[in-house]
Amino acid sequence: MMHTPLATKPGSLDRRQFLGMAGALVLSANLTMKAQAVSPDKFLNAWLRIDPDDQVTIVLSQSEMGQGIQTTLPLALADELGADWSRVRLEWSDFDPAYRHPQYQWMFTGNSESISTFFPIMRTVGAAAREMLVEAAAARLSVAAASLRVDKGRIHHDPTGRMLTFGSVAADAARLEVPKEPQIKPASSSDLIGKPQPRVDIPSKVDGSAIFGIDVKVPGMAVATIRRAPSQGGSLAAFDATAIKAERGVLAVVEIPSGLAVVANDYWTAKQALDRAKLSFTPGPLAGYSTDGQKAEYVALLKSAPFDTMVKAGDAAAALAAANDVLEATFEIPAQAHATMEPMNCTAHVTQDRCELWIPTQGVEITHAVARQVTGLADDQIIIHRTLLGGGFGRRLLADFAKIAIIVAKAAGRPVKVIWSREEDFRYDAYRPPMLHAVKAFLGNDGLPVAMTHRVVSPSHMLYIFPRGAIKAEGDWARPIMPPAAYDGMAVEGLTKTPYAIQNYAVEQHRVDTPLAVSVWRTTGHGPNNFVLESIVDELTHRAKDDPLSYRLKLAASDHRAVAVLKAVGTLCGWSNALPAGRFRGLALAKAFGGYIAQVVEISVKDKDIKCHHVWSAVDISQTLDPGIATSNIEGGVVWGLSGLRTEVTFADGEIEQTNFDQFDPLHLSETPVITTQFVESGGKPTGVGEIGPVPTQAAFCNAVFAATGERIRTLPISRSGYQLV
Amino acid sequence: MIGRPLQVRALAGATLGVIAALAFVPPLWSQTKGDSTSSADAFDTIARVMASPRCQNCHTLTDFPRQGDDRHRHMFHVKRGPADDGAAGLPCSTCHGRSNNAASGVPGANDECSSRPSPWVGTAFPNMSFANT
Amino acid sequence: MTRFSVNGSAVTVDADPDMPLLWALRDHLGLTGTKFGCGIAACGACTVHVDGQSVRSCSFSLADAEDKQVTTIEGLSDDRSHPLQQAWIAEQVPQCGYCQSGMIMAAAALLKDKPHPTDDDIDAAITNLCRCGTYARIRAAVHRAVRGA
Repeated sequence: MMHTPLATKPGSLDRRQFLGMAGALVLSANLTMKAQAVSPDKFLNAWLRIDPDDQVTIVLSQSEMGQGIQTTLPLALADELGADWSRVRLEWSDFDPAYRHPQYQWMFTGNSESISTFFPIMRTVGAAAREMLVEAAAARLSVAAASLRVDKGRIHHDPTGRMLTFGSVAADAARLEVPKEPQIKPASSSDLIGKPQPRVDIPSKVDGSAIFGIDVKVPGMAVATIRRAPSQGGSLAAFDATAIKAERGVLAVVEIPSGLAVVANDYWTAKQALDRAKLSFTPGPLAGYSTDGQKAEYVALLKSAPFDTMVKAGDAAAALAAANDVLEATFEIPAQAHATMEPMNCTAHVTQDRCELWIPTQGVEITHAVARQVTGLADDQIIIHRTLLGGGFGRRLLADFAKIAIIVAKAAGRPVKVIWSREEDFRYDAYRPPMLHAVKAFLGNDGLPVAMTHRVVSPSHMLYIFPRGAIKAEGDWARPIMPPAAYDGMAVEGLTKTPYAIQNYAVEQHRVDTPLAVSVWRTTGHGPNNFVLESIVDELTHRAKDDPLSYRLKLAASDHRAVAVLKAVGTLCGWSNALPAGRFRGLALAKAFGGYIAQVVEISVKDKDIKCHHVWSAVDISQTLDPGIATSNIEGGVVWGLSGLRTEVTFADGEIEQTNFDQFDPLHLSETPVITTQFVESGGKPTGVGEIGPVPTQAAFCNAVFAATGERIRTLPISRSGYQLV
Repeated sequence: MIGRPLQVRALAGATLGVIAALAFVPPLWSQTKGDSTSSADAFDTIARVMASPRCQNCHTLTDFPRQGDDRHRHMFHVKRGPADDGAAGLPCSTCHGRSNNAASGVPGANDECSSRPSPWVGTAFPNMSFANT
Repeated sequence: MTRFSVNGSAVTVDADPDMPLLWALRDHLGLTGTKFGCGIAACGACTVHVDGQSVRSCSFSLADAEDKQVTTIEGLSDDRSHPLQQAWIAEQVPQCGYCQSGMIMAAAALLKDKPHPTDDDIDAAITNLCRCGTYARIRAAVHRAVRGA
């Protein structure tokens, strides 16, 4: 395998650079992509290069944070091209408009959209390049293109036994017209697509050679760490500069927003200097903010605040007003920290005419924009080298950590790697916002709901990550912005389009203006909202004295993909079989991120200790491009969902109360259940698998708790109901 | 004085010297032989040391150590192990050095690690509940 | 000056004796396979072996490494041939991969103490954190390494 080492490109893709490379397949295409449709002549040289020595290089626009995108996307291109996948070289792209998500006009990796967005592009680019290479070979051999066969980077003319390599015809191919509608091979004809492939990044992740942001080494580089006001946004009041300078190995002290950076020969020295500097702070905008206060505020808002109607079918309010025996329930969703295993970090080198960043980021475009704003440099003077990400989960869509590194490196006048402590990472996260839901529903004589209303009190989840390009907002791109309400459905996603047919249905949202920094967190709005919806459906099931699976099959009868995953998970787990004594199951269904998932969780309960034994999932992501990678995403997703049952972050007087893993306790190996996953192939355009796994987990778990105990958990984490997951 | 309720929490700030104090228990005992007031005081000192979470958290009667002044079960399902020094592959010394670690804040542990308290402890300190420790 | 051995080679580090071994390895010896995760011995990303035993190197001072033999993920084998590394690849364990050096070193320490561990042994020995949730595959990979398949 030639996939490693991954080269980072020294600069952004440049048309001149390609045209100047004699002999390579380089197509004179417009890199400034405006069309939204997949159009091969606009992508080819951004994604693919074939050199005369037969080296095929595929460019990665999407960041690798564990989801396996670094394997699946280039493999799709290589497969369509007919290249020898084992010899393909991979390169991370810099920022370039060519890599923008066509709909949002924004370059990022997130929201489970890499596959749905870029898989068709990879296939189209691969097919177009293959047709051009074949056409060039046909001309060279004076044969019909249809008589040629492509296999592993070689073009064979079987009748005469002649063969040309990709490299030998690349230059000729580059002069040809780009086919407008290249013929894409059916996935079923592929040896690679639809079958588990070894991930290209895994060998480097078992011997310590994988380079994450924190591992970057640049000549002349110093290391810095930072300390800021424990109450986010507070100000540095005083510090002991003498104590810092007394520390051997300290190189510079730099004031940064809300605190101080110490630059030194190594991390430990910088940290020691900060420990001894007696930093004092004055509180900022979060002063007085507390989780208790937030909960009370949300309850008050639920009663009296104005709500935007996001969905209205029938007249749910009138139906509920006329009904007896209405089910009313409120659900409390806590704030969460991302807590990626790799703390935030960024390496920067800023000179008068150049800003170079080495950064583990999901948000290449926002990083580029922030670098431009902080340095005042021009677009092409900003160079972003991407590394592997030690977890993303949405946190690395932000560019706050890039901004600090740029400030520090600029002041230090040398390359500086700024590493946050775990405590800084918790204190200066942008958290999954706390939410409050109120649901009302009642059942008709047939046991099915006649009306249901959801009211959601939540801040926007998109304050930091909304594509600024779309609204031309000026100002500090590292700061939050309120997106237009019409574009801000994340807090109610999963509720607005459900698999269930309910005649009178309404979803309303009040956007809380919060001082707390909040942003997207793996599962975005789908996770918390599915917990609420599927808990309610479970409550209705019991009111209707029905079985959770058969009830959902009735309620979702008109949605054949929902029905298929429900039936599949029922078969997979043996839903109708009798359970061993002391075991209980819960079920949940989700329609999220373009796919469907039905999940069954099996638990046992001893006193207040809950053991999760097994989780079964049936998943429909239309077309499973790599069942191995997709399965690992679901397995990891289940663990993420279970972790969220017991983690939360809370605040007192503006300060977060959990600052390390002794207080924020995600799932460990010993608590991990057996996880069984099956994919349902419904066909069609493939969608992402990174976030769908955890969406139904919390509802399925709490529904199992109800089956076991008769107690309905409507507030997370489960410790608020006295339970613990062991 | 032995029967006096022990103020365990009052010792919270004074845990650093506890391991050292424990190591000096026999000489302290012998020095005060024959002086009943001193004996009682010394015994009280021992009692306070032994009742400290700093000692009791490791020297439990359970199959797992505890943590903190509230004596919660040690995180991560840490086990006593067959030789009182942790689980196979994860001895206490994976995290706990011989002295407190200033960098990590992890308290130090002595060589005996988590040996169970002798049966006489419960007899000698009848007002201390060891049943759940 | 602290002298010790890392992956079979003698090294000397001129740094604060209180510096955690983690940072001596990463910042002074350039061995970045050992990761910083929490700094309080809670996550296990920094797990190395000292004289053959697992140690969380963020909670182990440079001074305590004097004359000791330290093994990091880079020294587990020269060529990813350690049975655990092979099993990790076969089971396709890593996702983001950040915690996996520590996971493998923790598993290697377990196998030294207990060459045929049960599920309970694995539960007790591997308390490292993985936010991607690769735990089920870690368990499978440890068993696979023992089977030698």
